[in-house]
Amino acid sequence: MRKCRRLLGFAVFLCLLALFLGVAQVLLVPHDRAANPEAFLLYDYMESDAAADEVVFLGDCEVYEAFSPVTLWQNYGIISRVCGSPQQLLWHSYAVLCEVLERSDPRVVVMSVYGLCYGQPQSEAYNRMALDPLPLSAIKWQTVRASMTEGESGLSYLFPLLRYHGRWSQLTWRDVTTLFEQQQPVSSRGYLVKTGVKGALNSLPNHEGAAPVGDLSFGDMALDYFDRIVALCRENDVQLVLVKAPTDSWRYPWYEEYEAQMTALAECYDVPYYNFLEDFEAIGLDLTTDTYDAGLHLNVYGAEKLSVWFGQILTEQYALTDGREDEALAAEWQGEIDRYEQQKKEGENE
Amino acid sequence: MKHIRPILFAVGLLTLFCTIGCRPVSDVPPTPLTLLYRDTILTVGMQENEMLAALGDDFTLTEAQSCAGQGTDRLYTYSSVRLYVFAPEQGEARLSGVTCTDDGVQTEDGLRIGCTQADVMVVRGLPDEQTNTRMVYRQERTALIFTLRDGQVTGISLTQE
Repeated sequence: MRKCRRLLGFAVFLCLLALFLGVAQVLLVPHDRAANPEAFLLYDYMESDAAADEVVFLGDCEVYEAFSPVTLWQNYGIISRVCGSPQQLLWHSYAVLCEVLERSDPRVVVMSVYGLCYGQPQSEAYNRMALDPLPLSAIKWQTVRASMTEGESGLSYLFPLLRYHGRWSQLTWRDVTTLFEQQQPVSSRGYLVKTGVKGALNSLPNHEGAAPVGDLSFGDMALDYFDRIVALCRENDVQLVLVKAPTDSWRYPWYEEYEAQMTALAECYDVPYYNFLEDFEAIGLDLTTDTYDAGLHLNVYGAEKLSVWFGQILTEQYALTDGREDEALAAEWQGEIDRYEQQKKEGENE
Repeated sequence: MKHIRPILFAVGLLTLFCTIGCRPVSDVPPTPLTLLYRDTILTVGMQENEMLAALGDDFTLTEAQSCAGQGTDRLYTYSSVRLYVFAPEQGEARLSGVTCTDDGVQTEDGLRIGCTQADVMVVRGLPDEQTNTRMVYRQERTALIFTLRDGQVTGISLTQE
């Protein structure tokens, strides 16, 4: 009898400990999406019903600030979503793609090629933005192990409290109140609406003043995951399309050496590749008006132009559904359009 | 046969002297990968405030926020050089790259824009990487890059790898 009571007491203690640690984890892991929307983009994807997606975008800000699913829908009825995250590298994209294929059956996956410029893991923060939202799986664990930077612990991806316990001294009341608020999507189907206009000095992109790069060759790790992504798309009968956004700047240069390698890679793998820098003027872009940060990224006005241009290519090249003919879908997308217009309006009024 | 021992002894002695005379490569300290501008040694990783205090404030500054607010990239343009600084959200802002724009900057061993490819090889030896347009020397996590055109150095850069 005494033994039973001891065991029961121990079990209760364990339960209370688990509850305490669980609450602590929820509180301490950063969760205020409004404070840093870019860091929570993939959470929008994980919380959405993605089953109907026919076109999925993967990559870094060259997709989530360049392609607007609402514009693709309005002009072509394309059902798309952006599954991007800050500095999403090829190994991150592979893990995200595995999750995408679990949740939907896309016909086309569009991937930004800028991640190929990084041959090694870069930053814990960007690792977490890509991987924390994904559910635990063998692929996620393998990607965590592959992408950890110096000093990172794989266990902290399983138990984030191990990483964020130090935040207790930085907690504010907002950290508590946001636990009880319903978190709104930070994006428009993965596209981050940016309404600011801060023009570049030149209307055309150029990387004058770009920082030096020691090694201009695509790294082995990036190429290995590129190979895996191509194979995964082929196994699942998904058309992979590679894109280079129409941006080229001192901060994110697209050197001729990168373009030469990319062209050769696309040809070697027989995968279509579109470098929108070559179509910059035909798209109607102008970096004195279509950028919010002096040419580093497109704003919504530039993204809409690019989306209209690319939507035409997608419609002509791939057998995509025009979802506008489906009343139920059209009603669902009207909600997306309303939210998108609201985000644009709020941004313009700031 | 009678003279074989003295001959062997002489050969052995000669070999010994030659061996002692050759210093192992590892004993020769590598030339540091730094640049010299306005009497200031520029090193990848040096603190931004130290750099600015030494070089002065006659620069133009261009800034760019990193994705998701992880820090700020700063480009300081002086008359002969562009300096790239990364200021993380938390931590010290440090120099991450340098690009020389004219011959007002040199390496500590005197190489500058306008030198020849042969000059570079004589002073620094074989590069770690070489193409028709670049010679790259590496040390730990720093790369010194000489850009070439028609056998002449047209650019020198220092960067963190």
